[in-house]
Amino acid sequence: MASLFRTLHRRLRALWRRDVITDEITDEMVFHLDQRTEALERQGLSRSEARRVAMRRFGNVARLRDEGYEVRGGGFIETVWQDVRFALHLMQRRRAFSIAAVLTLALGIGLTTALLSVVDAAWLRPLPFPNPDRIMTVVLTTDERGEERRVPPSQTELRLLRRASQVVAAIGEWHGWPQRQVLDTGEPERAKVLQMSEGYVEVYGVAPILGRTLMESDGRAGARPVHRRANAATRRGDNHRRWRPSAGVPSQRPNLAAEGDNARTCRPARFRRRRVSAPPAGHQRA
Amino acid sequence: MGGVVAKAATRTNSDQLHGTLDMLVLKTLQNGPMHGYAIAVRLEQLSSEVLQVEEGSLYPALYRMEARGALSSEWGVTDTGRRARFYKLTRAGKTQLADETASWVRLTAAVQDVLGA
Repeated sequence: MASLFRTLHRRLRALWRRDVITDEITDEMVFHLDQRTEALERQGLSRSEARRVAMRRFGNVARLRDEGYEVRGGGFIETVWQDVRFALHLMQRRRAFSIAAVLTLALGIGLTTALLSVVDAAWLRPLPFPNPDRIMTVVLTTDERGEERRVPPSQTELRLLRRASQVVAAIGEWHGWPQRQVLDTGEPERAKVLQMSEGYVEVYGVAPILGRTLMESDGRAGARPVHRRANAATRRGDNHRRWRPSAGVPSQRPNLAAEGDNARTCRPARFRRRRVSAPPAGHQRA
Repeated sequence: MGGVVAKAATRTNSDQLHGTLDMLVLKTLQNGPMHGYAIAVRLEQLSSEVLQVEEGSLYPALYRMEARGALSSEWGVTDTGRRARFYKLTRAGKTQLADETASWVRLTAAVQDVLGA
């Protein structure tokens, strides 16, 4: 680590002392050549011959000076700094071209980021549930005059599917409702509401932290409506603070403005149903 | 006209020396600070002029060793009044010299064993 800091310090210092370092290296090599020349002269060589021999024994001065500067100079930091200065100089001289280049880059980066974000969310990042590759969307379609249309399953159809299927571990239905006003503890609150059938929570393998999951009897005609949780839209987590596990099953009922209801369960904070345009493992039609 | 001072037939190939140059320089500086030219001359003298490297290649090697912390350097004045950069062995350099010497001795002993078998 000390060596790294020493190298960095030397490289940065060289950015402002390039000439000094180059001169020092040159002085050192010239001193060497002078000393060798004088020694050869003392052995009987002429001045010019001694210098020639000294130069040959020393090697290529320019190459060795550059090689020495690679070690003692700014190195890659200096190269980057020179590139940046050159680029800024060019940008100043050719502004229209620079603006076009920057906008093109920005557009390209933005599009790539957006595309990769979608790919990541839709395909790469695993869903936050057990065995996400086994979760799929089931679509019921009907053929009316040669036109294929999606239709929501009835409760009866769901029950039939659940009982008849040998390959599905759980199956549930959901409907997203628009935001509604929730009358909770006397303070009106806007919340996102999701209507779901029994089996929906089991599909995601998430257990409620309070109360129970929905049962088949909850979906039958005449059964009391059961609200699992009103998910606060603007203050996410409020319900978890209000309906924390230590508080037990809430005694106060979160009343939807449009319907009377009865809060029975509360799902864990990590549970967030992810909306995906296509299921990760395939799209099964029934 | 004079002749060129060289022993081409017995001179060690500079490529062979390249890998051991650091160790030889460190060894040369063991007796005290020296400038680059003095190091080159000392190397020749100690090896009875068998070891002759391209003298200029000594300087990048010195800079590398200084960058690694094996050497330190400062400008000074020679006996003849010339300005020169003097190199000195650091504590890390002494450790490196000891390590490389031990490694070299092991290697040459092994090679000698093979050749003598």
